[in-house]
Amino acid sequence: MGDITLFGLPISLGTMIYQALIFTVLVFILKKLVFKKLVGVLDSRKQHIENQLQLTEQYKLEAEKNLELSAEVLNQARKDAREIMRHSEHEAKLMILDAKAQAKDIQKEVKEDAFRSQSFMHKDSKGA
Amino acid sequence: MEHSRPQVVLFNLTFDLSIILTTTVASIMVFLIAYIATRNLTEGIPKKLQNFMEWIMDFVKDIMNNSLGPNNNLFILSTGVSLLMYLFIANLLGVPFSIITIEEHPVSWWRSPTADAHVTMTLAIMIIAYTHFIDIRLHGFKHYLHSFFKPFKALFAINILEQFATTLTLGLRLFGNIYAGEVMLALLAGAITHGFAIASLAAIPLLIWQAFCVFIGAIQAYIFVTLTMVYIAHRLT
Repeated sequence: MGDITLFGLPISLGTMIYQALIFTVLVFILKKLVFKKLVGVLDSRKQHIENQLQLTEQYKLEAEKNLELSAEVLNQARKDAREIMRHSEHEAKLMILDAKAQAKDIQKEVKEDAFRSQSFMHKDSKGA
Repeated sequence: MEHSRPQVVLFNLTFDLSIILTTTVASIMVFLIAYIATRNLTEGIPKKLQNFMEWIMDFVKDIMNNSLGPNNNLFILSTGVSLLMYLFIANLLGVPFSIITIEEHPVSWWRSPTADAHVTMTLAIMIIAYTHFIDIRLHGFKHYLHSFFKPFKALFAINILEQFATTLTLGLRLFGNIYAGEVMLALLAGAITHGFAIASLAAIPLLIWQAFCVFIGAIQAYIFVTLTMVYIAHRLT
């Protein structure tokens, strides 16, 4: 049984038409309801990942720059500290020298004072 | 082993009810799987079902990009994915069981729709017709007509023949593979009528053959989609 025969084979056209119809409908429904959304989601995920990668690259560069900057600041601080230390050492030496000189002066003065008072006492005792 | 098919005549057209039943079931299954899998789409980390759909789509996209080159045609992609899922499910429908009613003569109601040449040839004709349509739309009708006379005029007959041959092979390859699988399954399952000893002997081969049928179904669906893409690519360039 069939609508037409081809080389002796019966072909039922209705079945073929139904098959063509249902597959076409399936493709269009799936395209509209499923694949459009799915492709959109895949694309936006790809975009998202690309953005994230770019952002990481950017952050990496920034971090490297910041690291360099902080190293520079640290070096500067070390240098400054050394400078300050040297300066203060120098000052301390000067102060010590100064103090020593002053101490000598004071000693000298004290000696002189003592000498003078001795001679004064001597004179006094002579007079008595 | 001869089963007739449940046919009705409507509007002077013959409809095979068993094929209508199974193709409808296969279409609904494909639709439900695809729809449920993509109901809650996320852009973040995909869940199991969404992952499955994405995997199928990436698979078809790979086939597509291999033959068409980088291409973002949504229609071709949807056709490919629908074909793959539809054919795979249609090929599997007849593997677990088949339903045959016996009244005056045995009538086969449930088997793989792709084990019938009507279904596969319809799909093949649709795809070849689509490739011709693409050619006409892309390069114009004149170029399309001229393409039958290339590389020289003497090959016109062969070019025409080639179109029929590709249609036939595309449709009949799938039909032959699935039909042969079903016939073998029916033979093995028929061993049950010959007593317990023979049935138990046939049980293990039946199991193996069913597994092989699943494998064949997947391979044939893949081949059909690949060839579809190749034929489309042939027209695009």
